Amino acid sequence: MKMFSVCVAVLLACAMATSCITAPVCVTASTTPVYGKMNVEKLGKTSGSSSAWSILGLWMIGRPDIGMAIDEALRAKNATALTDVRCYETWRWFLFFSTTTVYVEGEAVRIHNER
Amino acid sequence: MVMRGAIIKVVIIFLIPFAVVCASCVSLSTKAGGIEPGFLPMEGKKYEVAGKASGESSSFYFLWLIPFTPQHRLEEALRLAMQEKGADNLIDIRWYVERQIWILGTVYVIHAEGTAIRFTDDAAEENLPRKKPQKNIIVK
Repeated sequence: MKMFSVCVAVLLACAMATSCITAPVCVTASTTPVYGKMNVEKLGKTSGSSSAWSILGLWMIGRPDIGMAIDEALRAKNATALTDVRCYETWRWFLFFSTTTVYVEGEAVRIHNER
Repeated sequence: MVMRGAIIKVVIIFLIPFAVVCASCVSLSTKAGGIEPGFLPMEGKKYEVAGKASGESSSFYFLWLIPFTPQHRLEEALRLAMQEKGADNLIDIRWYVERQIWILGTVYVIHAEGTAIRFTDDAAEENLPRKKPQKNIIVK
């Protein structure tokens, strides 16, 4: 019974030592110049993400790559660009490690007759 | 005894400084900066792709607070990326900020990546002059 209480207390302490926060990163009209006489085909909403881990929340392994998140969003709809782009980042802290994830959302488009 | 002395010397000369250098990095993190469709205005101009380009701008804050170098700027990183390819503009820009916290201070580095482009003949005559690749440019 005592061991069970200790285990429960440890699990509760671990659960309380976690945290999460989301913050905006950027808002932009498009990922590539879209203007004037370009023929743009809308493909629908899409999104992508990229994550990185941190040891003890201090030393990050890799980085949350916004370029990879965009590529993932484009691949989902076989698009060439995104419009109405919004990016935000989420940090999650756990006992011995943390994660940072960047999300990209937007309208997938295919541009015809470029340049 | 001689072997022990040699081992102690190796530890003192190499391993302890190595451990101090490794321990000096208190924190290393990267934060996504943002996305920009282009650096300079280019409404309706025709262009050719010159390839991928990247640039960096950094600054050092002594004891984490006192600026030791000019502040890191996104514009500087983008201009260096353009100079790398002798480009007229940069499109499909992604940038992020790296922060290194050391025992002596903090280093911030802005990394910018994009696609370098050059305007074609009729577009180049209208506005921005075409810049030739230059080396050892100090960007203030």
